[in-house]
Amino acid sequence: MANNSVVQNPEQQVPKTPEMNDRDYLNDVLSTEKYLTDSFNIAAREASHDALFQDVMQVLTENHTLARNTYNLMFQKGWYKVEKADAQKIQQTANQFQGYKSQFPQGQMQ
Amino acid sequence: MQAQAGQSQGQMMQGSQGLQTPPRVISGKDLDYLTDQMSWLHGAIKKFHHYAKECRDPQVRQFIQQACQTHQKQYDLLLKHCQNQAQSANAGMGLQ
Repeated sequence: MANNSVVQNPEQQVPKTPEMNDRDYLNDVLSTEKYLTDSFNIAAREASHDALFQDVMQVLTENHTLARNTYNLMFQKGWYKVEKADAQKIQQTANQFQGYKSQFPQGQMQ
Repeated sequence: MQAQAGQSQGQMMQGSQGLQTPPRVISGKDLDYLTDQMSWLHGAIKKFHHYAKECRDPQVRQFIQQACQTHQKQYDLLLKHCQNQAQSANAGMGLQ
C-alpha cells in the first residue's frame, strides 16, 4: 500500500490459523474496554452519592486510558491503519462551520 | 478518597436547608449497579489472565497483564463501597 493517504506501521506478522493469535487477543481486549467504558459511563451517571460517583468516574477514566493504550499498541504493531481525509474536504468543512458561527449570539466575534 | 472531609461537611444540616448532597448510603439501585460493575470486571479479569498466558509477543503479554491488574484494583475499589456500608450498617444495628 504505497498510498500516501494511508498512515500505517509495517505489519507484525501473526499465524494465519483458526487459532486465536496475539492480534485477535488484543482486538478482543479493545472490544472489552469499549464495552466497559460504555457500561461504566451509565453507572457513573446513576450513582446516588458523591463518594461512589467519584470512584466510578475514576474507573471510567482508567478504562478510557486502557482502550486508548490498546489502540496505540495495535497501531505500533501495524494492526491499525489511519486514512487521511481529503485536504479539500477538510477545508470545506472548516469553512462551512465557520460560516454557521454567524448564527450564534456571539457569532460575529472572533 | 480525599473528598470525605468535605463530604461530611456537605451533609451537615444547614439550618432549615436540609442536606446539601445525598448521604453516603448505598441505595438499592447503587447495589444493583455495583453488582453489575463487579461482574463486568470479574469477566474481564479472567479473560485477560487467560489471554496473557496465550500471547507470544512479550510486549502484548505484558500489556494485557497490566490491564488485568488495573481491573483487579478497580474491583477492590468498588467492593470497598459494599464492605464499608456493611460495617456501618452493623454498627448502627449495635446502637439500637
